[in-house]
Amino acid sequence: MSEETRLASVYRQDGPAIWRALLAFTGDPAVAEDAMSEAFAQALARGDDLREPARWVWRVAFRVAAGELKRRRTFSPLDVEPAYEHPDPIDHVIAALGQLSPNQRLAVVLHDYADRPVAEVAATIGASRATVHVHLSKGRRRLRELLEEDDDA
Amino acid sequence: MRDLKDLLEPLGDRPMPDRWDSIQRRPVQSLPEPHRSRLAPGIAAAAVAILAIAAIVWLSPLGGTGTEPESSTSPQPSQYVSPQGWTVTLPPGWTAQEFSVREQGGSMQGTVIADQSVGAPDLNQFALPVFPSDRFPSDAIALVVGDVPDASTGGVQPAIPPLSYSDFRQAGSSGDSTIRGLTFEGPRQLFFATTQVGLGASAADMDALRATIAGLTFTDEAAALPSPSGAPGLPTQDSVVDGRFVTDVVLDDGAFSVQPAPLDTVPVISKAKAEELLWASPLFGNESEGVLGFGLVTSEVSQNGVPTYRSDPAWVAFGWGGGVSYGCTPSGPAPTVTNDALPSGGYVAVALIEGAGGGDISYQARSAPCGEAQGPFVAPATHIESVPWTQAGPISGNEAYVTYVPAPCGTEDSLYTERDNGRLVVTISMTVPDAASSCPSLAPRTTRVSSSLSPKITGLEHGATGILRQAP
Repeated sequence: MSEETRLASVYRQDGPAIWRALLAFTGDPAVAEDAMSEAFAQALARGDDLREPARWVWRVAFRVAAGELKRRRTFSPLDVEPAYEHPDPIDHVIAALGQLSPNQRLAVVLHDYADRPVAEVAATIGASRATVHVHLSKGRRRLRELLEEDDDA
Repeated sequence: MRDLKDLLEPLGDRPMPDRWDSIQRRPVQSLPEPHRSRLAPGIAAAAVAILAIAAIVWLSPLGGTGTEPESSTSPQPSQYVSPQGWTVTLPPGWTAQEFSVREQGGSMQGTVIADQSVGAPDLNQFALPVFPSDRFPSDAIALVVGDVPDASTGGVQPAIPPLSYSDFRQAGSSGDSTIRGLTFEGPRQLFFATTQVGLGASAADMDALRATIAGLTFTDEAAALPSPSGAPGLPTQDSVVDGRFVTDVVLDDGAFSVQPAPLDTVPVISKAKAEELLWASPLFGNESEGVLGFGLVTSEVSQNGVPTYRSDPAWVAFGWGGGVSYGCTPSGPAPTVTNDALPSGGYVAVALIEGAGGGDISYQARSAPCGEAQGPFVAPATHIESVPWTQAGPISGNEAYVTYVPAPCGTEDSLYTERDNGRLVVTISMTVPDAASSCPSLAPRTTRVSSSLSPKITGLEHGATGILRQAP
């Protein structure tokens, strides 16, 4: 199987999950789409050098997205179509995620939402696994508080 | 609260746009951070060959956790220049070997100068570099020079080069060898030197040791004043050169600031120790960039029992870049103030202040996380620390109990678990004041750990213990 075919397979298989996780992380479809495209383009450019292309693409996509968010330092709200009668609660969740620190948000989204292992989250953040656990704990606690505040409002 | 997957389930209704065709034509850009990609085959082969040679050269019966990247030896006297800028003339046949060790007693980076191969030292419980007797021949002599391994110099005034062997004080023994130690001052930092001399060392080698110590000097480059690289302002990576602030850094129009320290003001605390403690502050879990250095700190805000400080020597770490804000609530009022409108919105600092009346303080600049300006906030600094635990009783089903002794003054006990197949990796961390001096010991606490995942738990494992770095 050629590298291009192998990456095409990763794109079909892992792409939707990466896309959704990037959406949750960035809150911006444009940033998510660009980060994902960049990660796969980088993977294609590296050819056979990637032993685990799926894991590599996950990591690079989130680094690219984090870099872009840092560069912008602005928020583009998620373009969610509201339901007819009840507001879609997802915008509150995305907004709450957006109040976490970048590392907390990245840890929570990658681990708790996308089921990526802690070791992989650590590699993406560039921190130890113990530090990721701290980000996870604080992020979860903060997210819980924020969502409870929303419920009370 | 519902599971995050449930909460984000509606994202599944948003199909991924198929961009595969355009991706294949997309020009590749530079990645935002350096990546460790595999080496090209030719480079990899060369690297393997170099590593293999290095392994043969450095194969020695060493234990410990240190690294020994470089060594030099010569049958003639030769000049050795350390990475820290001190230099000595090596006696004929002596070696200089750089090392880095990190053990329970602390950490140390430095150089071993010895008349025969003795490897890297271990750090004993007093953070003293010691060669164990089983790998230190009775006729060996070693001089170890490194950064100060501990926050204390024992109240002894550091010596100023030129040094004399007679200034070294007895510090201990190991088997048939005697250890002496000395703290001395360099242009920009303190150093710690020890000698370890075997009972059978020759008089000629002792003379060589005395001459080596007496000839220790600093390079002109090390003694030069770092050049200022910018005007007063917010911290940047360029604010610090060789571990010292070289420009005035100002937060909140001067409410908190750091100035370059005169070269004759040297830190008592080692940079390694300062980095370990400062970067473990929970403040830095929110930031993506930071810089740390030694300088004179001024803090004009007195809150939470923290006094003001004026031009006090301190290690200071700044963090910023974590301000990617989505706004507080989409339905809330429109933000009236943003961090960009404030002089140093989103910046934080932690300072390890030395000298009389010193203390560790955290400073959060006036910021507007939710559209309303708040702060600045000053408080005693804290760090995140993972404490040891023991299993309390057998595993029952998919749960067990663990007992831990809280760190003195520790708060916010946090439990983290991770599955490793049948094993459950457990980490218990606390937020601990940097200056936890007068807190009583706390009674052991027991907590339940469990996992809802399959397979069932067969055993518990320890996560990392000790101070946990928070900075990226």
